[in-house]
Amino acid sequence: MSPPLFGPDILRALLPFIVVAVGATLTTLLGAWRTRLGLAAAVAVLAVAVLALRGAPESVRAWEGALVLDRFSLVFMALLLGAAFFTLFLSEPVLRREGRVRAEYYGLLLFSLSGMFLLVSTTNLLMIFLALELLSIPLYVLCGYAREDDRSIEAAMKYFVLGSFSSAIFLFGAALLFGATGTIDLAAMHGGDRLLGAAGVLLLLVGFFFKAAAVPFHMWAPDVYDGAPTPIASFMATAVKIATFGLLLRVLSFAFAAEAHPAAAFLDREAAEPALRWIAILTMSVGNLSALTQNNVKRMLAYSSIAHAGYLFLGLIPGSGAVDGAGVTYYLVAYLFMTSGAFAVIAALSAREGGREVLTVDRFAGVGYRRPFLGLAMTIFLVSLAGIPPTAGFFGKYLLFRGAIDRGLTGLVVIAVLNSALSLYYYLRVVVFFYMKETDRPAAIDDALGFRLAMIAALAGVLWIGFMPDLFGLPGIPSLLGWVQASVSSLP
Amino acid sequence: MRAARFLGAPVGRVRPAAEGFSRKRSGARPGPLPFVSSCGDRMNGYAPLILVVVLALITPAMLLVVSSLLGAKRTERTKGEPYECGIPQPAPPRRAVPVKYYLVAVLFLLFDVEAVFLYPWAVVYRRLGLFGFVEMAVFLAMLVAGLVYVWKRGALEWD
Repeated sequence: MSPPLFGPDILRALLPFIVVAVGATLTTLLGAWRTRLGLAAAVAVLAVAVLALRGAPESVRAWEGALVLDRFSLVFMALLLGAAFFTLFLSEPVLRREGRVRAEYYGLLLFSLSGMFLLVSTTNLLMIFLALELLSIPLYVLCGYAREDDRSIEAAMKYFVLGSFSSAIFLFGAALLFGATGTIDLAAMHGGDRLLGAAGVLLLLVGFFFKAAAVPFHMWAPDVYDGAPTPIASFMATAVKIATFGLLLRVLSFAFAAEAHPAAAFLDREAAEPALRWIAILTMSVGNLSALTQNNVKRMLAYSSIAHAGYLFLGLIPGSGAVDGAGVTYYLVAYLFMTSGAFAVIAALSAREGGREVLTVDRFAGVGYRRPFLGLAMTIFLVSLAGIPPTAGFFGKYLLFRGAIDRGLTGLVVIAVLNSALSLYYYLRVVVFFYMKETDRPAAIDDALGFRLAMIAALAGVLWIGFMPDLFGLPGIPSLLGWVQASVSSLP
Repeated sequence: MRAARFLGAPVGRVRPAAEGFSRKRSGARPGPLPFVSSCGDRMNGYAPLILVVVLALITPAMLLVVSSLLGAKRTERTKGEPYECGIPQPAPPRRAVPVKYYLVAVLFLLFDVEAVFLYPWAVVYRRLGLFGFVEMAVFLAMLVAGLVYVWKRGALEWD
């Protein structure tokens, strides 16, 4: 018997997507009447989305995998909502400062969010493509949002051209995979023509790796992060990364599933694993080595986000076991807090001078004394990014690396640990400038409420996970670790 | 068969395009396609295509080579001009074009081209029934939202 095309369960499962998409449309429309209400509308939409998410059923699978709502997608959607809230906090003060408050900005942000929602809750190749486009196209526009800044336009152009190209590569791979297996549902794929299938999977993964900014598909990231408005850079570093790794986790856990699973046949494990290993090694090494020489803090954070993608890849390599979904998800939670926090500090320091953002590290000399809280917060975020206890970054790395060692990837973990040690240099360099250097041209500091709220929220997350890695281990509240482990139990 | 396909169940080694036929020839086992059986055979199917590509490359190359070898060469100032038909150009071609044209083009794409979807819907309106009607209503609501937005923002006014 075929499953019903439509029903109350499916409708409830669709509700979060409908809320965000309709909310995005209405917020954009608001731009024609009350453009200043954009933030309020976006917050309202996100709040309703939280409610819709809470009421969503936990196992719905409809339309040949086009809609897959399980605990995994719910957890990732919750993370994406968190990233969106952080971005909203950062956006309003920055837009206000630059005189660019418009409701369309928030509308585009919500459209992008709806694409990410879809991306983490589907196994259907066509739906993945639609979601990727829905995620990307608003971001192309948002990258160029600071229209008077040449670098913003350059960022938008670069992201657009390279992004469309990678989408085309993905689409080609999807077509080949369909030709090989006769289905566009990843969960139903099995067997088929090996050569076509392998070529298809390869092109598919290239498309994903581009979005995840994995080396050697990372070239766009530093320029785009640097040129885009800081809140958008933060959104790309957190939300886009979370969404792509959610997708990669789902796709690869199908590909590397136990032999019993029919889907296991469509990726050649012997060929894919070494490739993934090399990508992991290259991504973390190139990211870290390039970050070493950066004087611009935003660019440094861009390279650092590439390096973190490299660590995350450790969890995607099955080794002697399976894909480490729990490790990756836990790391993403920690990564969300520390990266959003660091970008909040950068946003507070990125006032424009003559139309350009000046974010060279020497301008930040003495900031730690001028604003003790901001200095302390930045120090903790950077220490967490480097992976020193007692912060969230440490436990994220610990879980990820321990899982990798258990699966026999000791060599990779050694490289990852060496890379983490290396990253200390450029993270702590910022702290050195904050506290131990002087300058006669100090950076302007923006004390807007939004930045502070974002910093406090991020700080709370980083420290809470740091001191109680099994976060929320209080009676009545589910533990973070348990939550994460339960979420990946719905993967094959 | 239909139900199984909806579930996404594997359909064996059938080429997707051939699925429709395999249903009619029930009983006939879907054998491997001629060009899937091995790598060497696979290339056979593409031989005409390769031939076309080779011809497509050779023909213009030959035309260019032959005309440059046999053709007369006279260089004049008029020949260097961008539009070569004997009429002197009235103004330099590189001048600013009002950005409104661009806007009109985008709006045309949005509202005119997307309205094309209405025609196939109209053709199968009865068969799609209520579901199709609701889907189309959603689609139109989105278009109308876009129209309202551009109207209100003044994108439809020329001055």
